[in-house]
Amino acid sequence: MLSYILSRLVALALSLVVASLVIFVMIEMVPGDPASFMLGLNAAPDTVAALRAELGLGGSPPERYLRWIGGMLQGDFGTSYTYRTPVAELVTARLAVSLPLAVMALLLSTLIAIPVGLYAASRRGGPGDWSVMGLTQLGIAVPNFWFAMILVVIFAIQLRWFSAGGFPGWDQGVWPSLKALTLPAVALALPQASILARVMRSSVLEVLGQDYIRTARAKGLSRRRTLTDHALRNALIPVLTIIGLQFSFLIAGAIIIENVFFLPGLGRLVFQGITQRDLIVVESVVMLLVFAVILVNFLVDIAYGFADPRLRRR
Amino acid sequence: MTMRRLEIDRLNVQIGDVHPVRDVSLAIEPGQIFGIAGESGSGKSMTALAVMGLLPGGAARTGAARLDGQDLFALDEAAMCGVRGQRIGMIFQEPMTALNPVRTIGSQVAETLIIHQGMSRADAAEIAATKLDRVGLAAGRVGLDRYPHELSGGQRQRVMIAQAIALQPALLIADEPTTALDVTTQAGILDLMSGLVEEGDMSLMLITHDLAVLAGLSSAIAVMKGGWIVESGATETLFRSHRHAYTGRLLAASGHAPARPAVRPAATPLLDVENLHVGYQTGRPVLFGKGAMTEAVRGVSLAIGAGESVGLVGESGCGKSTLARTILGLQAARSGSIRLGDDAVTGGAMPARVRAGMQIVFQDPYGSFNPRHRVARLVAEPFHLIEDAPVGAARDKAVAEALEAVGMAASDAGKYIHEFSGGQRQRIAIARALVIRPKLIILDEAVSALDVSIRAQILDLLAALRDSHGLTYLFISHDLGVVGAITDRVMVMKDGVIVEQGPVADVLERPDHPYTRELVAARPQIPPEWTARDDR
Amino acid sequence: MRPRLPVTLVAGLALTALFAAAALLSLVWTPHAVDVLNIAARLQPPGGDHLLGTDHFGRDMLSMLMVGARTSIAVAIVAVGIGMALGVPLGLLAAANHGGVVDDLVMRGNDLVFAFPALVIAILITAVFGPSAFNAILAIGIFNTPVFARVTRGGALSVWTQDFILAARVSGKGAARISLEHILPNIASLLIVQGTIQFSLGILAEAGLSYVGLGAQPPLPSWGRMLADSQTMISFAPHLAVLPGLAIIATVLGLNLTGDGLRDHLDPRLRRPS
Repeated sequence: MLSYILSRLVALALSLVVASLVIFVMIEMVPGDPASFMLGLNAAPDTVAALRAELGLGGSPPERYLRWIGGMLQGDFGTSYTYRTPVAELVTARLAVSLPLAVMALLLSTLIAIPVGLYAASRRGGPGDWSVMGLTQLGIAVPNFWFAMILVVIFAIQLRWFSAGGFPGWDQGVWPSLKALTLPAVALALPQASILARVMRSSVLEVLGQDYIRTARAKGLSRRRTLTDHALRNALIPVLTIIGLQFSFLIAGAIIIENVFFLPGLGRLVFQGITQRDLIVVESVVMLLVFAVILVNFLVDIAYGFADPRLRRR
Repeated sequence: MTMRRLEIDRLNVQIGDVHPVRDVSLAIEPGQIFGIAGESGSGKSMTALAVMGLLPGGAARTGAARLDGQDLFALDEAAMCGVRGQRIGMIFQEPMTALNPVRTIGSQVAETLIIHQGMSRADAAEIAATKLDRVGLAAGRVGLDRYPHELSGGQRQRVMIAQAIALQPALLIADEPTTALDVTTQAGILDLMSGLVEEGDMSLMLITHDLAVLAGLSSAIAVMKGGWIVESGATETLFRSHRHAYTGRLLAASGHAPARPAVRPAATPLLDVENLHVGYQTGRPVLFGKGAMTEAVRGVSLAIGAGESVGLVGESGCGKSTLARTILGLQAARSGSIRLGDDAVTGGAMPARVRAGMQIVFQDPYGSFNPRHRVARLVAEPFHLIEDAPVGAARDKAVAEALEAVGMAASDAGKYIHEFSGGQRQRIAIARALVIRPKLIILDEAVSALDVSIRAQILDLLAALRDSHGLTYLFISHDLGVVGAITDRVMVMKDGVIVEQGPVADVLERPDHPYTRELVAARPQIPPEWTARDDR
Repeated sequence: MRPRLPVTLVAGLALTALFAAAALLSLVWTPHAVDVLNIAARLQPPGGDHLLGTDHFGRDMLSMLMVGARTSIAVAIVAVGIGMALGVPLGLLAAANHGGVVDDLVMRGNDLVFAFPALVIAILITAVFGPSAFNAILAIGIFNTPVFARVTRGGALSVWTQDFILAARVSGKGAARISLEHILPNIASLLIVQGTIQFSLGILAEAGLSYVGLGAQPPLPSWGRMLADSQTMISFAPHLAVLPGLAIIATVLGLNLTGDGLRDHLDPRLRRPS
C-alpha cells in the first residue's frame, strides 16, 4: 500500500510541475510584456518600467518561473496590480466562498445520486427505474447556469425564500452564509447528480451480473443482503472514479455559477483578472484550480487503493 | 422406508419459448455421489439452479424437488434463503470470478455461518479457519485475511467448497467444478469432494461434461440432452450397457482417436529449436528502473520432422503458449535458435517468406476472427505473406478450395463469422491456416473449447488434412488424452522445460518423469474394460 | 436479423435532426434578419408577427435561436472533430505500445490535460488571445482530446488481446496496419457513441463559455449569450431566458438519447448469436 501511495505521490508532483510550466508558458506568450499588456497600449514607458519592477519581471524566463514557483511554495502568490494587495490574501478570502460551494455541491450530488442509482438498479425495468432514467436524462441536459436562473426566479423572486445573489460573509454568521450558498450548490449539484446516478445504476447492474453475486445467493443471502453486503462496495469503485473526474466539471461549473449569483469567489476573481488584465491573478488562480483538480484525483487514486485490494501491492 | 436425499419429480423449466429442462425426474440417496452428464445446452446447469431456486429472471419451473421429503418449490423466498447455504451448498465452474474480489476469503467463508446461525464474527472466523483447514488451506499457509486475487484457481475453488460445506449441508451441488482447472488440480479437488462425502452423509450432485470424471467418482449417472434425461442408471452398468444411442455416441466421442497415418520419418527436421530461452517482463518498473523478468521458456530444444504430428502437453503457465509464439516469430527469444527448414526464425522483423511457412489455429472459436470482416477476407488474410498472392477470381477460388477442404461450402465465404457455430468457426480457422499451404501448423488448444462430439469431428478433419495436404502439426494442449489421439510423439512441459518426450504410447503407458506420472495418474479415465464393447 | 431500432434512438435522432435542420436553414433563410435592430418592437411576447417574440433590441427570437443553433452546433462539431483527430490516433498509438514508453507518455499527458477543465483552458486562451468563438472551439477541442484518447486506448487494448489480432500478426501485419484494419473498425461504434456524448457536452460547454463571455462574441447570436443578456430582464420578459434554455436542453437531450440508443443498437455483444 505504501509503495502504491508513494508512486501516486510522484505522479502528483510530476503533474504539478508540468501543469505549472504550461500555465507559465501560456502567460509568457501574451504579446508584449505583461506590464504593458496590463496597462494597455497608451501607457507611458516609465509607468510600464515601474510596474515591471514592481512585478519582479526582471531576469530570464527560467529565473522568473523559479521565482514564481518558489514564491507559491512559500505562500507568496505575487501582488495583484489592480487590487494592490497580495494575491494570496485575495485568494484566501475568495476560497472561503468557492471551497464550501464546491464541497456542498459534491456532497449533495453524491448523497442524492448513490441511493437513487441503487434504487433504479434494484427496480430494473420497472416504473421506478424508468422515471429515474428519464429524469436523469433531463438533468444531464440542463445547463447548470440556466437551472440557476430558474431557481432564482422561483425561490428568490417568486417565493422570496432565498436572496437572488450576493454573499453576506462568514463573519455575519454561518447560517446566512450557508443559505446564500444553497441555491448555487443545488444548481451545481443537479446535473452532476444525474450523471452520477446513471453511473451508479449501471455499475450496480454490472456487478449484479457477476458470478460472485450468484455465489452469495447460493450461500443463502437474501436479495437485499446480497445488494448491501456484496454489490454495493464493488459498484462504488467505478463511481469513485467518476466523482474524481466530475470535480473538474464542478470547478468549471462553480466559476460560472458564481457569476449567476454574484458570489465573490475564485471564479469572479479570475474574470475580473481577465477584464482588468491582471495576469498575476489569472496565473495564480488558474494554477490553484488545476492544483485542486490534480489533488482530488490523487485522493481518489488513494481511495481506490483502499476500496480495491487488487490495486494494493504488498 | 428410507427417505431420498433429493427427489426431483417431473421438473420443467421454461424461459419464454425455450424449454431448457423437460420432464426431468431423478433421485439421489443420502451419501451418494450422483453425476449429471451432458454437453453445453443440455439443461444440466438449469436443473441445478431450479433446485436452488436461483433461475434467471423470467424463468418458470413446474414439478417438484423434495429435499429429505420437503418440497422446496413450496417454500417462499425467505424460507429458501434458509435452505441455501445451510442444507444445500453449491459451487460453480469459474473459481476466478465466483468470489467477491474486495472481501477476504475468511470473511466470505464466515459469512455462511453468520447469516444462518447468527454467530458472532469472532466465532465464525474461528470455525471458518477450521473449514479452510479441512479443504486444504491451512491457516499457516493461506491466511484468513487473504484476498481471492492472491490465490490460484485451485485454491479459490477450495475456498468455494469451504463456504459451501461450512454448515454440513445435506446436499452439495457442484456445477462443472473442475472444468476451468488443470488436470492435476482437478484431481485434488475431486479427491477433496469425495472425501467430504465419505466422512459424513452429505450427498453430492456432480454436474460435468466429462464422462471420465464421473466414471471414477459417481455411483449413478443421468445423461442429459436438449433438456431431457435420455438415460440414467448405475455408473458401471450405464457405461457397459447403455441403451440410448446418444450415450454411446458421447462415450465413443470422448475417447475418440482418428485413424492415424503412418509416420514418414524425414531426413532433416522441418522445425529445429535449440536451447531456447524466452523471458518477459513481469510487473511494471518503479519509476525508471527495470521491471522483474520472468523466464517462461528455459532452455527448450526440440525437433519436428516434416509430416510429423507432435504433441506439447503442459498445464497453464508452463510456458507452452510462449514457446508457440516464439516459434511463430511473434516474440523475441533471449537466446537459442529456431530454424524452419533452412531459414532462421528471429522474431520481430522477419521475412514474410519465412512466416508463410507457419500458421496457427487458436482455442477460442469466438475470438479468432474479426467480427467486422466476411469469411472470404478472414480466410484470405495470410495471403498478405505472399508476394505474388492470387487476386480476384484466383483468390476467391483459393478461399473456396480451403473452405471445401475443411468441409464448409464455398458460398460461406460471403457470410460473417457470427453466423457460424463454434465447431464451424474452428473449421474456418483451419481453412485460414491452410490457405497459403504452410509447412507447419501450430494447433494451440484448438479443440479444447469444443463439446466432445464436435471435438471428435475436428480431430478427424485434422487427421484427414494431414494426410491429404502433407501437413506437419505441433499440437499444444493441456489434455493428454486428446494429444494421445492425434499425435505420434509427445513432449511434456513444466515450468518452461521439456521434462519428457517420446512416442505417445510410451509416454502415456510408461511415463518416466515424476511429473508425467502425476499427469497420467491425475487424468480421469473410463476403465477400458467398461467400454471395450464399443471398439468393435 | 438486425434488432429493431430502439425508441430512444428514434426520438434522439428526431430531436437532433430538428435542430440540425434549423441550423442549416438559418444559412439561407430566417423569418427575420438577426442583424437589424428594431427598438420599437422590443421585448414582444411570443405570438403574433414574431412567433417566439423579440429580444431587448427587437430582434426576432426564432431567428436568433436558429442562428444560435448554428453557432452551438458548429463549435461543438469542430471541437469533437479536433478531439477525435488528435485523440484517436494517440489512443491507437498508446494501445499498440501498451506498457511501453509511448503509452506512458500519452497516458501521463492525458492525465495532465484532464487537470485543465475546458473553462480553465478557455480562461488561459482568453487571457492570451482575447475572447472569441475560436476560443471556445479550441478549449473544448483540447478538453475532448484526452477523452477520445482514453476511450480509444481502452477499447483498442481489449481488441488487442483477441486471438484474431494474433492471427493477423502471424500473417505478417504490422501494428499500424492492424490498428487500421482490425482495431479501428471494432471500436468504431464505441467512438461514435462517445462522439455523440462529447457533442452534447460541447453544446453545454459552448453555452457556458458564451454565457460568461469567453465564447462567441456579439453580434454573433449564441444561446449562451442570449441567456446572459436575458438575466437582468428575467422577471418581466421570461421568454428571453426560457427559450434558449429549452433549445439547449432539447439539443443536448436529443444527442444523449441518440448516443444511448446507438450504444444499445451497436453493442456487438448484443448481436452475438445464442
